[in-house]
Amino acid sequence: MSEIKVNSIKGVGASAAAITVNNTDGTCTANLRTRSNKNLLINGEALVHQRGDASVAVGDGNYLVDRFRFANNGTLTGTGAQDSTVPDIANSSYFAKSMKVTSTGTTAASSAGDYAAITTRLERNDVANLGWGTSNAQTVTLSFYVRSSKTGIFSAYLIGGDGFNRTFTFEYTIASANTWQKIEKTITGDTGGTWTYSSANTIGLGVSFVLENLGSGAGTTSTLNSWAAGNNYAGSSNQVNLFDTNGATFYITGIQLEVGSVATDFEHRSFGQELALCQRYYFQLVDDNTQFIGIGHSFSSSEIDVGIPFQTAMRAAPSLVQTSGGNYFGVLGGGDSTAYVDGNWTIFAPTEYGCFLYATPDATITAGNTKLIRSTNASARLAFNAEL
Amino acid sequence: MAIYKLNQHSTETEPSSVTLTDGSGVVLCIPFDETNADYQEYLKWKAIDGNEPEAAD
Repeated sequence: MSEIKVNSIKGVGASAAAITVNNTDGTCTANLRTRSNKNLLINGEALVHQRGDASVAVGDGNYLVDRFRFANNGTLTGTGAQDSTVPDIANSSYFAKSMKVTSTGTTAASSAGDYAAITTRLERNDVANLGWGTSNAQTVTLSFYVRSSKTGIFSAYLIGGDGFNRTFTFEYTIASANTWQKIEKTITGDTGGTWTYSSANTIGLGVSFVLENLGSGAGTTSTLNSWAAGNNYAGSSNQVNLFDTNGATFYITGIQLEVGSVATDFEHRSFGQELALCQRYYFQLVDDNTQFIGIGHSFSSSEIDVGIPFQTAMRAAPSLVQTSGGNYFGVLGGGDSTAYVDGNWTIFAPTEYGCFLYATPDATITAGNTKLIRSTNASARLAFNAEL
Repeated sequence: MAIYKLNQHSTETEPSSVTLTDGSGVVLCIPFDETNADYQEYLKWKAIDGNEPEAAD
């Protein structure tokens, strides 16, 4: 039997070791390109789009796809959407979807503090292991594929810490118009600031991709490649303005944030896995006609109740999101003629695991009976929102 | 303009949620939960002088 004793294994032309061996405890660390559960971000390849909007305006809080929304201040005009334009990559990192932003106006640099970005947020639960705010802060690497009709300097930033006031901003250059390129940025963990993780399900970290950064207001920084305090939004002052050209486009996909100093291959999760992860923050129950909501109970002759168990434990007790109208939700069976919800549902006793909904039917129903509750209009929509 | 209205079920002694109707066609029903982001927005709105939600039915 033979034995090889080494400190590390490194490629012939590599600058870093692929495998580093601990000399005393029998363990090693490796820069595996395909390890699982490495991407801290959810829906980085834009697969899941529960809200289903064909497009949304570039407006604060509007979601392009699950987990990725606009952060915006100012008067620019544009749209965001899930798109099928993807990078052409001849390996396992093929992508099916991307996010697309299109300028629909010509907003020139005008107002200090105007900004626009695509942003996603992580729970403190999921970033506590980074050890940021301590001397053991972990290094992370952010990678993504991007394409724009505009060339020049773009920027992205991480934001977190107590008060959401620790930021790390970096620039990247889009050299060729309408050409996909991969951006990789290694970020040293923040050893400063205060990162408290006791409120485990609240905001832990934000990752933003800047689209516009006008003037010199609160949305602009010239501090690059290091952690800084005091910026709520922190695009580079050199940032290209996507929205000064009508029809200008910006695409992004394959977004990955991982521990370590190497950008490894994108971690493709199954659609089911990705959907379940998204449903912790947003759970779409109804988005069409004739969809089952639940088995209800006529609490009284003028109130229908229904219990809703969530598909996965949500981050927090969620809000109910609904699109309702005349005859959108049917109350069937129980010996009565079909009735419909009059007005809106109200959420009751929600937890992260489920809730009750109650509403007033548009006709008297027999108290104490079991009812089938379902959508009765193609525009009916019920969802639960626990986004950060 | 956003309009908030309190909700109180017949079994409750005080409101436990608020409904937001902002004219977009989408209606939000927001529980009083400190970790709910919509509830935090409601608290910001309510903290502005003069802003009061409609009373529950």
